[in-house]
Amino acid sequence: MMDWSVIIMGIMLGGLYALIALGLSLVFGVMKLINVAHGDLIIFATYLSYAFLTYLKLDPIISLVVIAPLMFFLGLMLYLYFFAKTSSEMPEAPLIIAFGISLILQNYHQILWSPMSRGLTTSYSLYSLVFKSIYIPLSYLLNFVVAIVIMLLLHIFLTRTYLGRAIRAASQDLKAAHLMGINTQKVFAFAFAIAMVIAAIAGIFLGLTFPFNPQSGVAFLIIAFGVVIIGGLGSMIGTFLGGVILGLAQTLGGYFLGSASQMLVVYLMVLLILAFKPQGFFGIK
Amino acid sequence: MLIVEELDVNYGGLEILKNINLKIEKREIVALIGANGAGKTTLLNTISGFVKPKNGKIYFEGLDITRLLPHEIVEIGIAHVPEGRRIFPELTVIDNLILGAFPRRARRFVDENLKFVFFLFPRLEERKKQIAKTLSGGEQQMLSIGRGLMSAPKILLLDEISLGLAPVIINSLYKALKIIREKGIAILFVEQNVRKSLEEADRAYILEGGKIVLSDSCHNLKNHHKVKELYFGV
Amino acid sequence: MVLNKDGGLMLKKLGIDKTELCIILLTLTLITFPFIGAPKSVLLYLFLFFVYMTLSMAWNLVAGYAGLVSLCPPAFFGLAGYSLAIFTLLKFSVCVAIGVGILVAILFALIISIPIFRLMGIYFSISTLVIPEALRIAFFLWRPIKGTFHGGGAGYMIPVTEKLKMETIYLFSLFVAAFSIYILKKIKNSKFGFGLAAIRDNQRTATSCGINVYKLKLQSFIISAILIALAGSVFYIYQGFIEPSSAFNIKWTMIAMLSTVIGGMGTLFGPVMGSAFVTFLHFLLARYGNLSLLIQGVILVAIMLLLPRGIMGFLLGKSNKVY
Repeated sequence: MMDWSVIIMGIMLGGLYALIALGLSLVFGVMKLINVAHGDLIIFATYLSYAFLTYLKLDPIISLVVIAPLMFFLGLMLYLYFFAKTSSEMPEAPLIIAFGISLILQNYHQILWSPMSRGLTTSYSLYSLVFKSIYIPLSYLLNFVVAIVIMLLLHIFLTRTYLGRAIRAASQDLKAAHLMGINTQKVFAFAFAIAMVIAAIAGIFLGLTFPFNPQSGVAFLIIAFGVVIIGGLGSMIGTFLGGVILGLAQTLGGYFLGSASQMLVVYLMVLLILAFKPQGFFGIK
Repeated sequence: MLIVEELDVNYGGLEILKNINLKIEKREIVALIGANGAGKTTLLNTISGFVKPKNGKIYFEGLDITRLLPHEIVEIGIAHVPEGRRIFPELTVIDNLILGAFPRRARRFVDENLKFVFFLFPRLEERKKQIAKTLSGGEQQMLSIGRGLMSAPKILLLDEISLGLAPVIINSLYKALKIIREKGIAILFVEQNVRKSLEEADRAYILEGGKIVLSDSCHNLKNHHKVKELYFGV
Repeated sequence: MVLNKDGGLMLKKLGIDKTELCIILLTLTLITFPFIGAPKSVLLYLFLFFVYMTLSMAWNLVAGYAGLVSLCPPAFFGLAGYSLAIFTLLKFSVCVAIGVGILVAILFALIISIPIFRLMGIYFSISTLVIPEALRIAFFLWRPIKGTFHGGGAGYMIPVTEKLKMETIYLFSLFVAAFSIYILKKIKNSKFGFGLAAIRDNQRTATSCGINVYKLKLQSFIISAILIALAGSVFYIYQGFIEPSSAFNIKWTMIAMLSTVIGGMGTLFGPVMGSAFVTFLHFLLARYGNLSLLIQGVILVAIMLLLPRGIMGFLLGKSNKVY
């Protein structure tokens, strides 16, 4: 007797996972940089929101009004001061720098907030919708809706604005983009900043849905990476489907093997896909 | 309009160009001729800002542009259509063209320039919603040139546009160049095919081993003994 | 150090050069430490230095020589530690346990190379991140054998530790470290080493030159795994207990990466210098666990921005040497 809640929750979770991956995919697609600190930056936003919630009683979603611009600015700074200086002599540099930033953030959170698990608990975060024995937490539904909205917005941005087109062009042929008069450094910085805003949104909704701790960033990075692998780059649909597949893997894994093994199922799935189909199922490599 | 003065360009420690002096005026079609490795593409890359010269200066309409960044050079009106076309493979034809109008100065003239490009290359209008990588070689070259035109340039730099294309298509491309010239845009093109170059251009520079060895009107060059000897085997 | 002509000839006959001679002399000096009454604290300091150095050498082989930034060290480190714990608990001798650790490392390296080696650059690195994480959870859920409980999941006390003296452990770690330098030096000047350098430069070109990229990558990865396993075994002999979240902790990668980066990626002595610094840092900040890692992160980023080729890289930039 299949519990449909598990399937639906898996799909909804997939939306959130797609959102997590979106920022990573954007940065990687454009500047070929896998930001290993992506997960930790997401959690950074979550902790910020937690601070606002605890000390200012500010609702997490409202706090986005402050956090999103903050993360945008942070993204610009991060790119311009830490990643922009790459040379072909040392192609590993951005990766190592991102790794350093990741550890800085993890331990910063550990010191500031202790390893204890926390959650963004609001009046509605524990609310559930029930429909004919199908049981869906409100937060899951919210995540899904928000994810779809953001993906649509991003899609419109990438296809209808000059900057969005420039970002896509730069990811396809950097030199040609340069020849178009596109200031590639500016484009990269913007892409990074936008990725940070999406990460902030993902972070808030993650905090509403799951407990988090300073180490959660790693798990989110792996999920994001997994989604990008499955979905392939450059395809919004692919990213979405990749998210759904991993979301389902997690909920089904948790259902059949117990909640402690959930993440392990996800990790194994990522490794399996890497072993057999590293180009992903959709989109371009 | 464009003046290149005593340019020396090194690349990776090697001397690629030495003492280049070059001029382009309005409504001119100028050819840059030379064998492979003579430094033609490097010269174009230096003019468009991707390579910085060791010595020498480049002036455009009186302004010293030697140290400008590539995107700034596009902004002031020099468009470089690169070797190998380099269109954006996953974007549609129309997206490629609109992207060509990225410089702020060009955005006001998007519709006007688009009409012109479609007039020059009706094939592109037919295929405007097609993904660029599915176009044929000749169509991709048309797209690349069209994209360059969308930036509302005053000078168009073309690098080996006839590579890998059938003579019929090459002829139509060069016909289009003449129309572009009528619009007031100057053209500097790089070509390996000497005969074709001398036919299509007003003036030509012959580049050998990084130096300009001959420079004259094409009419004179056609009858120059050295040209006849080296390139036409007379 | 000045050698007369005869001395030089003698060296040539033995097949060693000046650098190797220095290393051998240094090693011999260090061997004498326990016997001339060096205090335990000095031995401990050097012990940790040797462990860190081995870790860094191993990481440098894959990341510095071959250009593959691996985040995998904790996997091999932890697996070796667990092999040691489990097999000594099963009443096998230490040597057997260490041997098993090495075998497990090799096997594991072979298995995971299937998914991760098809990937280049960043894809490779992130996939190597997944592996220690997966192992951590796996060992959290799975208790392979019974033993004295320590920590969550598979936490064990290691019975060997009480039986071995600090001096023995010290000497063991010294040999492991010396061995790692020896291996790295041999590789650096060999065809293998040049092949790795070619792969690092441009994998596609290397392939078209007839270099069997997959084989070379795998070999370097396995050698690296063996060295890490040795370091892990030695470390856990000293430590006396093991549990999943510290065994597969990212700090092992951090130590290796930081040491190598400070010293100079791809150089031979870079990791040595770097790990000396990192050991010093460790003792300085030992009681500030998280702060220590945070500071290491800051230093890592700073070095990458300011002195990306590390100390050795900077020094070598002036001369034409390849070391």
